[in-house]
Amino acid sequence: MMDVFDTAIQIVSLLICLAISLWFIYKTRDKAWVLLNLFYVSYLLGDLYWQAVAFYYGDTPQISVVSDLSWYASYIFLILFIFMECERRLGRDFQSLFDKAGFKRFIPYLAYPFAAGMAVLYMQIGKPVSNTIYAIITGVLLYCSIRNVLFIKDRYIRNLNILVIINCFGEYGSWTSSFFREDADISNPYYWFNALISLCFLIYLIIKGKEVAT
Amino acid sequence: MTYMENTYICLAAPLFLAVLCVKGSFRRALTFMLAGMTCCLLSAYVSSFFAALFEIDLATAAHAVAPAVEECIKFLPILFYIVVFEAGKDNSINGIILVSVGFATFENVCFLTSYGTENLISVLLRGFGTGAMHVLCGTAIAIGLFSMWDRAWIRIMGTFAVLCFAITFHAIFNIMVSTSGISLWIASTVPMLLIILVFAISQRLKVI
Repeated sequence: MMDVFDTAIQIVSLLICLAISLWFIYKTRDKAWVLLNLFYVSYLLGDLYWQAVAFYYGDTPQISVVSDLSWYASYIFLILFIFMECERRLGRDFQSLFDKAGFKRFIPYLAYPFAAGMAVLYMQIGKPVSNTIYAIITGVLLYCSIRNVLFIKDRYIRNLNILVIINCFGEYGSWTSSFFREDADISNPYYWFNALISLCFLIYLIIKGKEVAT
Repeated sequence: MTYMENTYICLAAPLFLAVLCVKGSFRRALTFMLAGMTCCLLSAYVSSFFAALFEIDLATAAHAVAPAVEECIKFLPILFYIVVFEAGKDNSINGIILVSVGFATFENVCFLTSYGTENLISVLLRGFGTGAMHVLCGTAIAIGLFSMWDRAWIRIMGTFAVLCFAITFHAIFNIMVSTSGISLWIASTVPMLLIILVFAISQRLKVI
Protein backbone atom coordinates (compact mmCIF):
# COMPACT_ATOMS: atom_id res chain seq x y z
CA MET A 1 0.00 0.00 0.00
CA MET A 2 2.76 2.39 0.99
CA ASP A 3 4.60 1.58 -2.28
CA VAL A 4 1.54 2.42 -4.36
CA PHE A 5 1.02 5.69 -2.44
CA ASP A 6 4.69 6.60 -2.83
CA THR A 7 4.72 6.00 -6.59
CA ALA A 8 1.36 7.76 -6.97
CA ILE A 9 2.80 10.93 -5.37
CA GLN A 10 5.76 10.82 -7.73
CA ILE A 11 3.62 10.18 -10.80
CA VAL A 12 1.18 12.98 -9.90
CA SER A 13 4.00 15.47 -9.30
CA LEU A 14 5.63 14.44 -12.59
CA LEU A 15 2.35 14.80 -14.47
CA ILE A 16 1.87 18.31 -13.05
CA CYS A 17 5.44 19.24 -14.02
CA LEU A 18 4.94 17.71 -17.46
CA ALA A 19 1.77 19.70 -18.11
CA ILE A 20 3.30 22.98 -16.92
CA SER A 21 6.51 22.47 -18.89
CA LEU A 22 4.49 21.64 -22.03
CA TRP A 23 2.62 24.89 -21.58
CA PHE A 24 5.93 26.77 -21.26
CA ILE A 25 7.28 25.04 -24.39
CA TYR A 26 4.25 26.28 -26.27
CA LYS A 27 4.59 29.76 -24.80
CA THR A 28 8.35 30.33 -24.98
CA ARG A 29 9.55 27.85 -27.65
CA ASP A 30 12.71 27.54 -25.58
CA LYS A 31 14.92 24.45 -26.00
CA ALA A 32 15.63 24.42 -22.25
CA TRP A 33 11.96 23.77 -21.53
CA VAL A 34 12.02 20.88 -24.03
CA LEU A 35 14.97 19.34 -22.19
CA LEU A 36 13.30 19.82 -18.81
CA ASN A 37 10.15 18.28 -20.25
CA LEU A 38 12.12 15.29 -21.57
CA PHE A 39 13.63 14.88 -18.10
CA TYR A 40 10.13 14.68 -16.61
CA VAL A 41 8.75 12.41 -19.35
CA SER A 42 11.65 9.96 -19.09
CA TYR A 43 11.39 9.76 -15.33
CA LEU A 44 7.62 9.34 -15.61
CA LEU A 45 7.94 6.55 -18.20
CA GLY A 46 10.31 4.67 -15.88
CA ASP A 47 7.77 4.93 -13.05
CA LEU A 48 4.89 3.98 -15.36
CA TYR A 49 6.72 0.92 -16.65
CA TRP A 50 7.38 -0.21 -13.07
CA GLN A 51 3.73 0.31 -12.16
CA ALA A 52 2.47 -1.33 -15.36
CA VAL A 53 4.47 -4.50 -14.64
CA ALA A 54 3.24 -4.49 -11.02
CA PHE A 55 -0.36 -3.97 -12.17
CA TYR A 56 -0.50 -6.49 -15.03
CA TYR A 57 1.83 -9.17 -13.68
CA GLY A 58 1.29 -8.66 -9.94
CA ASP A 59 4.98 -8.27 -9.13
CA THR A 60 7.86 -5.84 -9.53
CA PRO A 61 9.83 -6.31 -12.78
CA GLN A 62 11.94 -9.45 -12.96
CA ILE A 63 14.40 -7.52 -15.13
CA SER A 64 14.44 -3.81 -14.36
CA VAL A 65 16.58 -2.81 -17.33
CA VAL A 66 13.77 -0.91 -19.07
CA SER A 67 12.99 1.30 -16.07
CA ASP A 68 16.70 1.83 -15.54
CA LEU A 69 17.14 2.93 -19.16
CA SER A 70 14.39 5.47 -18.69
CA TRP A 71 15.94 6.84 -15.51
CA TYR A 72 19.38 7.01 -17.16
CA ALA A 73 17.76 9.00 -19.95
CA SER A 74 16.13 11.39 -17.49
CA TYR A 75 19.44 12.20 -15.79
CA ILE A 76 21.19 12.61 -19.14
CA PHE A 77 18.51 15.13 -20.08
CA LEU A 78 19.09 16.89 -16.76
CA ILE A 79 22.85 17.10 -17.46
CA LEU A 80 22.13 18.52 -20.91
CA PHE A 81 19.59 20.94 -19.45
CA ILE A 82 22.12 22.32 -16.97
CA PHE A 83 24.83 22.53 -19.61
CA MET A 84 22.57 24.40 -22.04
CA GLU A 85 21.36 26.76 -19.33
CA CYS A 86 24.95 27.60 -18.34
CA GLU A 87 25.80 28.18 -21.98
CA ARG A 88 22.76 30.36 -22.59
CA ARG A 89 23.31 32.52 -19.51
CA LEU A 90 27.09 32.74 -19.50
CA GLY A 91 28.09 32.22 -23.11
CA ARG A 92 29.61 29.30 -25.00
CA ASP A 93 32.96 29.64 -23.23
CA PHE A 94 31.48 29.53 -19.72
CA GLN A 95 33.98 26.82 -18.78
CA SER A 96 36.69 29.49 -18.77
CA LEU A 97 35.04 30.87 -15.61
CA PHE A 98 36.16 27.86 -13.62
CA ASP A 99 39.20 28.38 -11.47
CA LYS A 100 42.29 26.73 -12.95
CA ALA A 101 44.37 27.12 -9.76
CA GLY A 102 43.75 26.72 -6.05
CA PHE A 103 42.44 23.98 -3.83
CA LYS A 104 38.79 24.65 -4.67
CA ARG A 105 39.13 23.19 -8.17
CA PHE A 106 39.66 19.69 -6.71
CA ILE A 107 36.42 19.67 -4.69
CA PRO A 108 34.06 18.76 -7.61
CA TYR A 109 36.21 15.70 -8.39
CA LEU A 110 35.13 14.20 -5.04
CA ALA A 111 31.83 13.38 -6.78
CA TYR A 112 33.49 10.53 -8.69
CA PRO A 113 34.96 8.55 -5.74
CA PHE A 114 31.70 9.11 -3.87
CA ALA A 115 29.59 7.74 -6.76
CA ALA A 116 32.02 4.83 -7.27
CA GLY A 117 32.04 3.96 -3.56
CA MET A 118 28.26 3.97 -3.34
CA ALA A 119 28.06 1.84 -6.51
CA VAL A 120 30.35 -0.75 -4.93
CA LEU A 121 28.06 -0.82 -1.88
CA TYR A 122 24.90 -1.27 -3.99
CA MET A 123 26.55 -3.98 -6.09
CA GLN A 124 26.44 -6.27 -3.04
CA ILE A 125 22.75 -6.82 -3.81
CA GLY A 126 22.27 -5.08 -7.17
CA LYS A 127 23.49 -5.66 -10.68
CA PRO A 128 27.03 -4.49 -11.53
CA VAL A 129 26.24 -3.04 -14.97
CA SER A 130 23.28 -0.86 -13.97
CA ASN A 131 25.04 0.34 -10.82
CA THR A 132 28.14 1.26 -12.83
CA ILE A 133 26.07 3.25 -15.33
CA TYR A 134 24.22 5.01 -12.50
CA ALA A 135 27.56 5.82 -10.86
CA ILE A 136 28.88 7.36 -14.09
CA ILE A 137 25.75 9.42 -14.72
CA THR A 138 25.27 10.66 -11.15
CA GLY A 139 29.02 11.22 -10.85
CA VAL A 140 29.00 13.51 -13.90
CA LEU A 141 25.82 15.24 -12.69
CA LEU A 142 27.24 15.84 -9.21
CA TYR A 143 30.61 16.93 -10.58
CA CYS A 144 29.01 19.50 -12.92
CA SER A 145 26.62 20.87 -10.31
CA ILE A 146 29.24 21.15 -7.51
CA ARG A 147 31.61 22.86 -9.96
CA ASN A 148 28.90 25.29 -11.05
CA VAL A 149 27.91 26.09 -7.46
CA LEU A 150 31.54 26.75 -6.51
CA PHE A 151 32.58 28.88 -9.46
CA ILE A 152 29.54 30.50 -11.05
CA LYS A 153 28.16 33.66 -9.47
CA ASP A 154 24.90 33.76 -11.47
CA ARG A 155 22.04 33.36 -8.99
CA TYR A 156 19.77 31.33 -11.27
CA ILE A 157 22.52 28.86 -12.22
CA ARG A 158 23.56 28.49 -8.57
CA ASN A 159 19.99 27.82 -7.42
CA LEU A 160 19.48 25.32 -10.20
CA ASN A 161 22.67 23.44 -9.36
CA ILE A 162 21.99 23.45 -5.63
CA LEU A 163 18.65 21.83 -6.45
CA VAL A 164 20.41 19.22 -8.61
CA ILE A 165 22.69 18.38 -5.66
CA ILE A 166 19.63 18.04 -3.38
CA ASN A 167 17.97 15.83 -6.03
CA CYS A 168 21.07 13.58 -6.17
CA PHE A 169 21.13 13.52 -2.36
CA GLY A 170 17.48 12.35 -2.47
CA GLU A 171 18.32 9.63 -5.01
CA TYR A 172 21.29 8.36 -3.00
CA GLY A 173 19.20 8.55 0.17
CA SER A 174 16.44 6.43 -1.32
CA TRP A 175 18.88 3.89 -2.81
CA THR A 176 20.78 3.59 0.47
CA SER A 177 17.56 3.27 2.49
CA SER A 178 16.28 0.52 0.22
CA PHE A 179 19.66 -1.20 0.57
CA PHE A 180 19.32 -1.43 4.37
CA ARG A 181 15.55 -1.61 4.83
CA GLU A 182 12.93 -3.43 2.80
CA ASP A 183 9.84 -2.85 4.98
CA ALA A 184 6.89 -0.86 3.62
CA ASP A 185 6.51 1.26 6.74
CA ILE A 186 6.11 5.03 6.74
CA SER A 187 9.12 5.31 9.06
CA ASN A 188 11.31 3.90 6.29
CA PRO A 189 13.45 6.87 5.06
CA TYR A 190 13.12 5.53 1.50
CA TYR A 191 9.65 7.07 1.23
CA TRP A 192 10.79 10.39 2.66
CA PHE A 193 13.66 10.61 0.21
CA ASN A 194 11.27 9.79 -2.63
CA ALA A 195 8.99 12.59 -1.45
CA LEU A 196 12.02 14.90 -1.48
CA ILE A 197 12.73 13.91 -5.10
CA SER A 198 9.10 14.63 -6.04
CA LEU A 199 9.42 18.03 -4.40
CA CYS A 200 12.63 18.70 -6.36
CA PHE A 201 10.75 18.07 -9.62
CA LEU A 202 8.33 20.85 -8.73
CA ILE A 203 11.08 23.23 -7.60
CA TYR A 204 12.90 22.89 -10.95
CA LEU A 205 9.79 24.36 -12.51
CA ILE A 206 9.62 27.19 -9.98
CA ILE A 207 13.27 28.14 -10.50
CA LYS A 208 13.03 27.99 -14.28
CA GLY A 209 9.64 29.75 -14.27
CA LYS A 210 11.07 32.57 -12.14
CA GLU A 211 13.93 32.94 -14.59
CA VAL A 212 11.44 33.28 -17.46
CA ALA A 213 9.47 35.87 -15.47
CA THR A 214 12.57 38.00 -14.82
CA MET B 1 4.68 -22.09 -34.97
CA THR B 2 5.39 -19.12 -37.23
CA TYR B 3 8.00 -19.55 -39.91
CA MET B 4 9.23 -15.98 -39.89
CA GLU B 5 12.01 -16.62 -42.39
CA ASN B 6 9.52 -17.96 -44.96
CA THR B 7 7.21 -15.00 -44.43
CA TYR B 8 10.19 -12.69 -44.73
CA ILE B 9 11.32 -14.22 -48.04
CA CYS B 10 7.80 -13.97 -49.41
CA LEU B 11 7.45 -10.30 -48.42
CA ALA B 12 10.98 -9.18 -49.15
CA ALA B 13 11.35 -10.80 -52.59
CA PRO B 14 9.13 -8.33 -54.51
CA LEU B 15 10.65 -5.42 -52.62
CA PHE B 16 14.14 -6.65 -53.44
CA LEU B 17 13.28 -6.94 -57.14
CA ALA B 18 11.75 -3.47 -57.06
CA VAL B 19 14.93 -2.08 -55.47
CA LEU B 20 16.88 -3.42 -58.45
CA CYS B 21 14.47 -1.93 -60.97
CA VAL B 22 13.69 1.57 -59.67
CA LYS B 23 16.12 4.45 -59.24
CA GLY B 24 16.72 7.56 -57.14
CA SER B 25 14.61 8.32 -54.10
CA PHE B 26 12.23 5.40 -54.85
CA ARG B 27 15.10 2.96 -54.58
CA ARG B 28 16.22 4.52 -51.30
CA ALA B 29 12.70 4.38 -49.88
CA LEU B 30 12.25 0.71 -50.81
CA THR B 31 15.70 -0.14 -49.42
CA PHE B 32 14.76 1.43 -46.09
CA MET B 33 11.54 -0.57 -45.96
CA LEU B 34 13.43 -3.74 -46.77
CA ALA B 35 15.97 -2.86 -44.07
CA GLY B 36 13.11 -2.37 -41.59
CA MET B 37 11.73 -5.86 -42.37
CA THR B 38 15.21 -7.38 -42.06
CA CYS B 39 15.65 -5.62 -38.71
CA CYS B 40 12.38 -7.12 -37.50
CA LEU B 41 13.54 -10.63 -38.41
CA LEU B 42 16.93 -10.06 -36.74
CA SER B 43 15.25 -8.62 -33.64
CA ALA B 44 13.18 -11.76 -33.25
CA TYR B 45 16.36 -13.87 -33.29
CA VAL B 46 18.28 -11.62 -30.92
CA SER B 47 15.33 -11.28 -28.50
CA SER B 48 14.92 -15.07 -28.43
CA PHE B 49 18.64 -15.42 -27.75
CA PHE B 50 18.53 -13.00 -24.80
CA ALA B 51 15.32 -14.56 -23.46
CA ALA B 52 17.08 -17.93 -23.43
CA LEU B 53 20.23 -16.43 -21.94
CA PHE B 54 18.38 -14.74 -19.06
CA GLU B 55 16.02 -17.73 -18.69
CA ILE B 56 12.85 -15.67 -18.85
CA ASP B 57 9.41 -16.53 -20.16
CA LEU B 58 7.94 -15.10 -23.39
CA ALA B 59 5.65 -12.59 -21.63
CA THR B 60 8.57 -11.07 -19.70
CA ALA B 61 10.76 -11.10 -22.80
CA ALA B 62 8.06 -9.20 -24.72
CA HIS B 63 8.27 -6.20 -22.39
CA ALA B 64 11.76 -6.46 -20.86
CA VAL B 65 13.98 -7.61 -23.72
CA ALA B 66 12.22 -7.16 -27.08
CA PRO B 67 11.73 -3.35 -26.91
CA ALA B 68 15.41 -2.70 -26.19
CA VAL B 69 16.56 -5.11 -28.90
CA GLU B 70 14.03 -3.85 -31.47
CA GLU B 71 14.76 -0.16 -30.98
CA CYS B 72 18.53 -0.68 -31.07
CA ILE B 73 18.45 -2.88 -34.18
CA LYS B 74 16.00 -0.51 -35.89
CA PHE B 75 18.45 2.30 -35.30
CA LEU B 76 21.41 0.48 -36.90
CA PRO B 77 20.51 0.89 -40.63
CA ILE B 78 20.06 4.61 -40.19
CA LEU B 79 23.29 4.90 -38.22
CA PHE B 80 25.03 3.10 -41.08
CA TYR B 81 23.36 5.43 -43.60
CA ILE B 82 24.45 8.53 -41.68
CA VAL B 83 28.01 7.38 -40.99
CA VAL B 84 28.82 5.77 -44.33
CA PHE B 85 26.82 7.92 -46.77
CA GLU B 86 27.02 11.12 -44.70
CA ALA B 87 23.30 11.56 -45.17
CA GLY B 88 21.61 14.88 -44.53
CA LYS B 89 18.92 15.64 -42.00
CA ASP B 90 15.84 15.27 -44.24
CA ASN B 91 16.98 12.04 -45.87
CA SER B 92 17.87 10.51 -42.51
CA ILE B 93 14.58 11.47 -40.86
CA ASN B 94 12.60 10.03 -43.77
CA GLY B 95 14.84 6.96 -43.63
CA ILE B 96 14.15 6.36 -39.92
CA ILE B 97 10.42 6.61 -40.51
CA LEU B 98 10.55 4.22 -43.48
CA VAL B 99 12.64 1.70 -41.54
CA SER B 100 10.01 1.88 -38.78
CA VAL B 101 7.21 1.35 -41.30
CA GLY B 102 8.98 -1.70 -42.78
CA PHE B 103 9.54 -3.06 -39.28
CA ALA B 104 5.90 -2.55 -38.26
CA THR B 105 4.63 -4.08 -41.52
CA PHE B 106 6.63 -7.26 -41.09
CA GLU B 107 5.71 -7.51 -37.40
CA ASN B 108 2.02 -7.13 -38.30
CA VAL B 109 2.23 -9.80 -41.00
CA CYS B 110 3.79 -12.21 -38.49
CA PHE B 111 1.04 -11.35 -36.01
CA LEU B 112 -1.64 -12.02 -38.64
CA THR B 113 -0.15 -15.37 -39.63
CA SER B 114 -0.08 -16.38 -35.95
CA TYR B 115 -3.46 -15.08 -34.76
CA GLY B 116 -5.58 -14.91 -37.92
CA THR B 117 -7.51 -12.10 -39.52
CA GLU B 118 -11.09 -12.81 -38.44
CA ASN B 119 -11.51 -9.99 -35.96
CA LEU B 120 -11.52 -6.69 -37.87
CA ILE B 121 -11.41 -4.49 -34.74
CA SER B 122 -8.41 -6.34 -33.38
CA VAL B 123 -6.65 -6.12 -36.75
CA LEU B 124 -7.40 -2.39 -37.00
CA LEU B 125 -6.10 -1.76 -33.49
CA ARG B 126 -3.03 -3.83 -34.17
CA GLY B 127 -2.34 -2.21 -37.54
CA PHE B 128 -2.73 1.39 -36.47
CA GLY B 129 -1.42 0.92 -32.92
CA THR B 130 1.79 -0.92 -33.77
CA GLY B 131 2.37 1.18 -36.87
CA ALA B 132 1.91 4.42 -34.95
CA MET B 133 4.09 3.23 -32.06
CA HIS B 134 7.01 2.25 -34.33
CA VAL B 135 6.75 5.46 -36.36
CA LEU B 136 6.53 7.49 -33.14
CA CYS B 137 9.64 5.86 -31.68
CA GLY B 138 11.45 6.41 -35.00
CA THR B 139 10.37 10.05 -35.05
CA ALA B 140 11.54 10.52 -31.46
CA ILE B 141 14.97 9.13 -32.37
CA ALA B 142 15.06 11.37 -35.46
CA ILE B 143 14.31 14.43 -33.33
CA GLY B 144 16.95 13.27 -30.87
CA LEU B 145 19.49 12.92 -33.67
CA PHE B 146 18.95 16.11 -35.57
CA SER B 147 16.71 18.68 -34.02
CA MET B 148 17.96 19.29 -30.52
CA TRP B 149 21.72 19.58 -30.43
CA ASP B 150 24.43 21.30 -32.36
CA ARG B 151 27.57 19.52 -31.12
CA ALA B 152 28.75 15.95 -31.58
CA TRP B 153 29.14 14.94 -27.90
CA ILE B 154 25.76 16.42 -26.97
CA ARG B 155 24.20 14.70 -29.98
CA ILE B 156 25.60 11.31 -28.94
CA MET B 157 24.41 11.69 -25.34
CA GLY B 158 21.06 13.10 -26.42
CA THR B 159 20.46 10.36 -28.98
CA PHE B 160 21.30 7.67 -26.41
CA ALA B 161 18.84 9.30 -23.99
CA VAL B 162 16.10 9.50 -26.64
CA LEU B 163 16.76 5.86 -27.58
CA CYS B 164 16.30 4.86 -23.90
CA PHE B 165 13.12 6.93 -23.82
CA ALA B 166 11.78 5.18 -26.96
CA ILE B 167 12.60 1.75 -25.48
CA THR B 168 10.58 2.46 -22.33
CA PHE B 169 7.64 3.79 -24.32
CA HIS B 170 7.77 0.67 -26.51
CA ALA B 171 7.94 -1.57 -23.41
CA ILE B 172 4.86 0.04 -21.81
CA PHE B 173 3.04 -0.35 -25.15
CA ASN B 174 3.98 -4.05 -25.32
CA ILE B 175 2.71 -4.65 -21.77
CA MET B 176 -0.61 -3.01 -22.49
CA VAL B 177 -1.27 -4.65 -25.88
CA SER B 178 -0.51 -8.07 -24.44
CA THR B 179 -3.84 -7.85 -22.56
CA SER B 180 -7.34 -7.36 -23.93
CA GLY B 181 -10.10 -4.86 -23.25
CA ILE B 182 -9.60 -1.25 -22.27
CA SER B 183 -5.79 -1.55 -21.95
CA LEU B 184 -5.52 -2.66 -25.57
CA TRP B 185 -7.67 0.27 -26.69
CA ILE B 186 -5.69 2.79 -24.68
CA ALA B 187 -2.34 1.36 -25.81
CA SER B 188 -3.39 1.47 -29.46
CA THR B 189 -4.96 4.92 -29.46
CA VAL B 190 -2.27 6.77 -27.44
CA PRO B 191 0.47 6.38 -30.12
CA MET B 192 -2.00 7.48 -32.81
CA LEU B 193 -2.95 10.58 -30.82
CA LEU B 194 0.72 11.31 -30.14
CA ILE B 195 1.54 11.00 -33.86
CA ILE B 196 -1.15 13.59 -34.60
CA LEU B 197 0.22 15.80 -31.79
CA VAL B 198 3.82 15.48 -33.04
CA PHE B 199 2.67 16.33 -36.56
CA ALA B 200 0.75 19.38 -35.33
CA ILE B 201 3.67 20.60 -33.18
CA SER B 202 6.22 20.02 -35.95
CA GLN B 203 4.06 22.04 -38.34
CA ARG B 204 3.83 24.85 -35.82
CA LEU B 205 7.40 24.89 -34.55
CA LYS B 206 8.98 23.60 -37.75
CA VAL B 207 10.92 21.10 -35.60
CA ILE B 208 11.22 18.40 -38.25
